[in-house]
Amino acid sequence: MLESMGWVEMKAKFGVPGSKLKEKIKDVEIYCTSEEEAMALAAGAWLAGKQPEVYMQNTGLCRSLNIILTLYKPYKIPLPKLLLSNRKYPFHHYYVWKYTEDLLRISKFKKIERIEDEENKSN
Amino acid sequence: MKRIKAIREIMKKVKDELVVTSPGMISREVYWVKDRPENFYVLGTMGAALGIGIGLALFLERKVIVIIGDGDALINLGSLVLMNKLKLKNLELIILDNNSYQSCGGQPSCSDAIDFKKICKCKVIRVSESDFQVPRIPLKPEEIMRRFYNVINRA
Repeated sequence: MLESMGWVEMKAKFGVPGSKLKEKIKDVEIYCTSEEEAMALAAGAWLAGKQPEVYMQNTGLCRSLNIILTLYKPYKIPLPKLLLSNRKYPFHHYYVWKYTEDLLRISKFKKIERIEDEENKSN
Repeated sequence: MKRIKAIREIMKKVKDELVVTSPGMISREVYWVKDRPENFYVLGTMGAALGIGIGLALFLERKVIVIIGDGDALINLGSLVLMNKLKLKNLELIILDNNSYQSCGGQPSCSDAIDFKKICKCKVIRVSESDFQVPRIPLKPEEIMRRFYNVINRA
């Protein structure tokens, strides 16, 4: 229960912003400090009876794998809906992009909304 | 104070609060001192207990108590910052600080270089190692989840 923010109820939508996500996360008031933390909040929200959603860039999947494999899987907590910005450009995103399908194969998110990078556009 | 004594004192006062605990000896000792379906033992994920507690406290009126070690707090200090940002009135954080990774060999942690209370409102209890080691929790993770989920969502 929020003491000071004056909200009726916060949405069960947690994550870390990304430039390609900004149009999709306009309804979010507070951003998490890491993607793994967002996954932890989502687990708590699910235990509280909510249907949470998380959003992140593909690089956030690397940070999330730990909690997926050590909490979600062994405790059989359903994974939240994932809003994923699959970055490919510029080049510093390339290696995570190359392995994003592997990360998704390991994590087994069932509901994914993807935002793909457009060819050669860097922002 | 010995860690198990601190845990006994905390759990003696617990009524219908939800309790989330960090991996290692803290979860094990909470289990052996006072197991109840309202306890959620995080067995393997360092740094997740507080995030789970925040997720619970955001959507429930019920009070949530998160009990973690200094190593657990340090691995995800960001969650203490988020806690301070949200200021949830039904969330209490207790850090049992022995300045070490006691559950995996007693190696010193860096908790002596920080005052957790400057990051967020929390209770920090300085503890020393318990005199005896309690066994592992004989519950499967799924069992811990299912009974905890049911205690919140039934009715």
